[in-house]
Amino acid sequence: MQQTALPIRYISGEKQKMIPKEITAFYNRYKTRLYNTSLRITGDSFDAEEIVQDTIIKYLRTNTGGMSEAQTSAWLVKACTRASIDMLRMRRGLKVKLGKFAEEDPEEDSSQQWDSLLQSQSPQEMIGRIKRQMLRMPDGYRAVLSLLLFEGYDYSEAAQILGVEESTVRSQYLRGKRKLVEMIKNEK
Amino acid sequence: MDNLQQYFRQNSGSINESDELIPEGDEARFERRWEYSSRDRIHFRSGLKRRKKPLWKVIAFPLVASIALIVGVRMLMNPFVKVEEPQVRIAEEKAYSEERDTLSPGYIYQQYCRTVADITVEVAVLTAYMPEDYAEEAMAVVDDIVREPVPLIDQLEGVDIQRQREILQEYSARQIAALDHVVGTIRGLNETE
Repeated sequence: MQQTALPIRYISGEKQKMIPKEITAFYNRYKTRLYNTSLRITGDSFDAEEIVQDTIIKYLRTNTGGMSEAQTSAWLVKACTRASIDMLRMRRGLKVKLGKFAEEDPEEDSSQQWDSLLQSQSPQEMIGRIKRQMLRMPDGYRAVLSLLLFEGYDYSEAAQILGVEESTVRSQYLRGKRKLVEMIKNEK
Repeated sequence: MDNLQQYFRQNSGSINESDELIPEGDEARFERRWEYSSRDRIHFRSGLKRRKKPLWKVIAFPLVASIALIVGVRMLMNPFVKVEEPQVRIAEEKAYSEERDTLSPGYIYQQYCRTVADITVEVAVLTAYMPEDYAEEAMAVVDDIVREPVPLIDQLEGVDIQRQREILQEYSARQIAALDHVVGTIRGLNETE
């Protein structure tokens, strides 16, 4: 790897340049978490990998203060999420799709169906199925469900990230949830 | 927060368990991406030791520049430099050598002609304020003395050089003496008036 313009790491508050091996190790430490975050939102393996690498490079380039492990992880996940949403918005017109689906699908509560479904399998198996089915969902639903379920954002935070009204997020979540339960039930 | 969101909060540990792995070769792709992004960045050279210029470069540049300057100036000046005709140069050299040889017949005759020209001018000056017929008569006398239907030097062609020299010296001395006499007469006339 190139030796010049190496990022800084902080050891006991002291600045030190990272050696190339450390940069690669840093990438390996966070790549899986970030890749899955991005993959759930974008639904595309190539886009997700690109976003992960760009996010880590951006962090290494702009990191000016010594962050703790938890802060670094939170920064990376947030940046990766926003980059993934930006990718959807830029390449696939996410905002337009969110509005479009709001008009097409009826807003029905599927909570009862979910209750019975969630109890039918172990959490690990159920979450695995949800992940697989989400990759087949339209961009708008997948983005909203990812932010609210997997990333743990509330409605207002998700609305801010997606650049839409909170009411749109709520209605999209309800529609997405109903569509998802149908897809899981119909899964062979 | 609905039942599904609560389910995910309660089982957040299971989310990572079913995580997918990035397709193989991602590490190399990341390193390439890192290098590419590093290449685009501006690197300040203040901290780097400057490279020394090779000696041949230090010498070669001024040398080539000087040669180019000389050639360029010559090319620019060429249209303005007149190349003299060789024949003219030879003629001038001959005249110069003849002029330098004070005993040559040519030189003696040339000196005589110059003296005649000077005396003619002197006569013209002396008669400038005299009555017109006086001046004309004086110039006519001078003309009578110096007139040579065929220049004497041409008449002496084929004669021995030594002899030519003697004739010309005697001739010029006699002629100049006669002219001096004329000049003296005119001066005498001026003084009496």
